[in-house]
This record gives sequence, structure tokens and C-alpha cells, in this order.
Amino acid sequence: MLTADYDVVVLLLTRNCREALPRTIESVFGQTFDKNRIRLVAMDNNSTDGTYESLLAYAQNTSISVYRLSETQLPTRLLREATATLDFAEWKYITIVNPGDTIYPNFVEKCSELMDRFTDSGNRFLICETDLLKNGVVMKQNPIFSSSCVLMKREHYPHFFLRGMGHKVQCFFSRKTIPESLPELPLCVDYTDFFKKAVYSFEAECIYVRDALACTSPAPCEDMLKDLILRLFLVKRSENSIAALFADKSFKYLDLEGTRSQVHENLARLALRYASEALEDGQVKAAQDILIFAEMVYDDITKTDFFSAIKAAVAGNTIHIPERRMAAAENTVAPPDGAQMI
Amino acid sequence: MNNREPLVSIMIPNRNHSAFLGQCIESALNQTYGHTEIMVLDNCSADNSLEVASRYAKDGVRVCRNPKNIMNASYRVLTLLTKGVYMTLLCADDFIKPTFVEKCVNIFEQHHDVGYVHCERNYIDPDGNVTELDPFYSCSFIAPGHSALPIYMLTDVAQPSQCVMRRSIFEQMYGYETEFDHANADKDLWFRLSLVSNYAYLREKLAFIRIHPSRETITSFRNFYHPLAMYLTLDNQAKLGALGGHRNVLERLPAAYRKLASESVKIAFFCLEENNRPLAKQYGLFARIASGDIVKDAQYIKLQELLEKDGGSSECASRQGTQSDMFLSRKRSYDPPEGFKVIGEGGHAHS
Repeated sequence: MLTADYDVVVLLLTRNCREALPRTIESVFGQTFDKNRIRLVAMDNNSTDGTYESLLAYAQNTSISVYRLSETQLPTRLLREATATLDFAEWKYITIVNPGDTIYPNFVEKCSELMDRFTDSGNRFLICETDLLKNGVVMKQNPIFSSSCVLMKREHYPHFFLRGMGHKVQCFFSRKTIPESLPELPLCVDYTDFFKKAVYSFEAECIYVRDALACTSPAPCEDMLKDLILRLFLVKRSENSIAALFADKSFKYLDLEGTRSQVHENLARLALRYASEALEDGQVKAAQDILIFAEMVYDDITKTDFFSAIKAAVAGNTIHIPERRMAAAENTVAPPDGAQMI
Repeated sequence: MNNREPLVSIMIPNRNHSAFLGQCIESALNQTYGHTEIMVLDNCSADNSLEVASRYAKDGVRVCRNPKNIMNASYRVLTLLTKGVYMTLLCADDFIKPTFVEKCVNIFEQHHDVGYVHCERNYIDPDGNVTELDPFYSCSFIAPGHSALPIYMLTDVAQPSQCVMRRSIFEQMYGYETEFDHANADKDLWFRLSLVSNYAYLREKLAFIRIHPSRETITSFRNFYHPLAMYLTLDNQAKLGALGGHRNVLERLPAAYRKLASESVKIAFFCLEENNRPLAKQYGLFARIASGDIVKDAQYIKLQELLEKDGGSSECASRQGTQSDMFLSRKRSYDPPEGFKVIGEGGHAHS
């Protein structure tokens, strides 16, 4: 049980990730924010590779709290157990990091400062951009919006969360807005599902920070096809919620049809990126299925050169694949009307 | 009221079902079992549901209303605000026979390993016309939960109004979220209950399930949401099965995906009937994703022929009754899951 008060809890959910631990933990201890006001809490999902022992060793010398489940659970169970243990402590904000991710030295300072400054009711959460770490190389993402802003109303959310299909962000929650009751979906394709929740249950406001304040690894994608289907499912569910939410009202700038088409195109592009990755790994059958997905979700994708190139590669005619990140990248857009600029 | 009997909560979530709500509440009030609490939770209906429900307040029915439409979160509110040892979720447009609760409790009280009981059903349309269905299983029985798991990956055995659950088992179960997909939530609930308890099946038609063919099925086809939810539920069930070491779950997984593919092809035909070729094509592609083998299926091949042909939709438009084919048919009574014990009149088990 935690007995002291903290401003910020950094929650680390672990499972067989001993090698990735040091850089994540060091990034938490390297914050410019008062270190006595940050608490790192690790919840281990019954690791068998020495992760837990390694966490205990850290705990001997540093102020890490360590918990361990007795049986391996799905990731969301882990999150629920973790948030339950945190009920016993006093804290204001929380952020969840994955093993291997790093938060930049000013992350906690900047996020706390913005939350303090813009949060009147505590019913807000913050999302910042992140850099991507892949195969040891740090890459930039195109930011979602062209400037930092506060999305004041829930009508703003569709602009935000129906985009960014392959986008990674880092979230910073107040106690009220932590998504502890997320459905048991892999936690989660980034933020899409959380946003849906925000739209129709929290009525929370969202602070968007355009600067990258953390570096995250794309979730290890065991099955790219399932990942895509999950993303499409979340989009569909969001569409349903939004349609129900706005059924009786009209918002002139809410172009659901246009947004939907853009989202599907983005998903298809992400699928092509996955397909090319699968090909590079020699998984021809996976690439084939992913191509079917791309066509299913956005028919016009079949007219693009990228699609043809991958299809030809799958058929064994060529190995030339266009540069995939460019083909899949989404453009940055201006914040929606009515958002408060920071 | 006999207070020495365990309390049974009859939970009735409602939204805009005022036409059927009275019949539903009366069926709950008319139970032969003595110790029940009945709670109606109205999800901000736009019709006169609240007025209908309020008429029964004098009979001890607790009538509550949410501040806004909280969708399926109503289920959680209902379970929080009731306290029966056993509980049933009775849909506001369905109704139950007077002995429903009594017979289910009878089984629970004699078999403490049983976490949930299903009874049989008939379908009823909004005009009150009843469709007789073949019972799902060939006899009443108790079966080990784990042996029932694959059933819920493959088919729809029961609706919530056919089930009574033991609350302590419901609370042991983790991760059930009705929000996940309304059409899919029941199967997932039965699956998760089977992970933590044994299962009893009562081969008696004690529930009437209301079918609104035109409205709900068509909506769920059009938005392409349901097949995705099905796919992901299967994936999740496979993970849960693997965590629990249930080999039967993994063994049946390909068959379950194959079934999903066949259903997608059927829905594609339905979309053609509606002259919606793009959606039909999407379903056809989805069928291939669910199970690559579907390309050898005669129906799939026929679908592709129609899709490639101009005017395929009009040719198909004369096909009638796809929906009833898909949702009303149930042709035989299956053998119970492995390891079952037959139960007779009065709930006693025979080996």
C-alpha cells in the first residue's frame, strides 16, 4: 500500500521485458519535476524471464512500488488490478508507460503544468505527441494537429479520434479520467477506444500537446491482421456512438461521411504498410490477407500504385516496394473551430 | 413472501418498449417462486414506458430511470442496485412463464457447482405470433463449464431472458462488458461464466423472446459492425481459452472462423437483395479474411459470380426470406456437452 502523497503516478505494466526495463525506469528518474512527488508503480503480469526480480532489485535502492499477479492475465485485467491498488494512495495525475518506452525529461513537468493551468474541474486529460522507436531508430510522426490546443467540447472529438490510425500518443490523466473500465480489448490500439469513452461518458475536455514529450515503441504486432480488424471495429463503434450522440442535433462542421471515408482510407494505407512489412519478413500469406483487408475497407485503394506494387510482390513478380512510411503517413490538420489555442 | 428462500433479482432494462413492458413486468410478478425483487430501469425512453412501469410500483416493482441514455451500462447499474443470490436479466420486450424462476432456483439449490441455468424459448413477433423452435439440446442436463466453452464460439444457445445466474459466480467472472457488442454480448457472457462454473440446461420452454425481424437485423448488417465484433470475440475467447489451458477451445477455433465466414456470405446475399453491391462485396472479402477456405464454398462461388455480373442484384432480389433462413431456423436437438449428467423432473441428477 502506498502511504505518501504524490503528484504523479507513473504506472508501468510489465510482462517478460527485463531487457527493456532500464531505459524506461531511468527516464522516469531523470525527470526535471520534483522526484519526491513522482511515484513509479510497476505491476508485473507473472513474468518468467527475471523481470519481476529485476524490479525488486530496483525497489531496494529506489522508490519503486512493485506488485505482481499470481497468474498471467490479459492486459486489461492487469490495468484494473493496478488501478485498484492505487486507490489507497493520494495522487493527482497518472500516466501509463509500456516497457521500453521513455518519457522525455520535461514530460511530467510540462504535462502537470498544463493540467494545473487548464483544469478547473479535474475532468480533463492530456494527450501529447510522441516519437517512435523502431529497430533502434527514432522517427518523427506527423502531428495530428498543427498546434497545441484544448478541445473544449465533445463535438471536437470526432475530428480527433477518427484520425490517426497508426498514430502513437502518450496520455496523462487526472484521477477522474483514468480509463479503468475499458472493455477487455488489448490496451489499446492507442487511444481510439478511450476517446469514444470520453465522448459519451466523461464529457471530459482534452488538452492536446503538439510537441513530442515521449518516445514510444509501436506495440509488438503479433498479428497485424487482427490489429487492423480491431482498429476497424473501434472506428465502427465510434461511428455508432457518435451517430447516436448527435442524432437529434446538427453540427454544421461535423462531416461524418467525409470523416468516415478519410478514416477508411487511412486504415487501408496502414494495411498496405503492414502488408509490406509482412512481405519483408517473408510472411506471404499474411500479406495476402492484409491486402484483402485493405480492399475491403477502402475499395479505391486498389487503384493506387502502392497496392499494385505489393500485390505484384505477393504474386512473386517483383520485390520492389515503395517507401512505406511516406505512403502511409497522414497529414497534419488545423485544430477544429472553437478549440482553445495554447 | 417466504423470506427463508434465497432472493432472486429480476432485472428489467427498458428503452422504448412500452408496448411490451406491461406483459414483461406481469410475467415477473406472476412467478410461482415466492422471494423475488423486480427492478425496472428505464433508459430515458421517449415513449410512455415510465408511465407503464409506474403502474406496477404499487405491486412492489422498483421503477428507476437513468438521467440519460447510458446504453448497455444499464446492466451494470442493475447489478449494482439489486442484491439477490440469483439474478436474471429480463429484456423488456420478452416475457417468462410463471415457473421459470422456481425451476431454475430448484437446480441451483440442489447443485452448488452450477453457476448459470438456461431454459428453452420460443420466438414471438410484435403481433404476438409464436414460432415454435426445436430445443437446442436433446435433454436436460448439468455439464462441466469447460466442456460447454466451444458451443459459445459457434452458436447462439440462449438470450439473457432464458437465463438465471448465481450472483457469486457472476462476480467471479472477469471482463464481461456488454458494451463490447450488444448482439454478441450473450455468447460472451455464457463463455465467461463457463470458465468459472458448471452449466445447467433445462429442456423446457419457459421464455418467450421477441423478434423484430425488420429493424434490428438489417441495421446490424448495414453498419458492418457485427462481423468485426464476432471476429474479435473469437480472438478473445481463444486467448482466454489458452490462459485456462482449454484445448477444446483452440481445437474448435478454425470451425468457428469458418462459420463466421459462411454467415458473412449469407449476409452478402442479403445485401445484394437490398441492391447494395459495395457492402455485399465487403462481406465477401471479410469472409475470406475470416476463413481462407471459404473460396471453395459453393455459396461463396455463387456470390462472386453475381458480383462480377452486371445486374446481379436484380437477379437476387427475388430471393426471399434470407433473414428467416438465418435467424429462425434450428433444425435439431444436439447432444449435451461432454461429461454431462442428465437431470430429471425436480432437478435431480441421474448418471
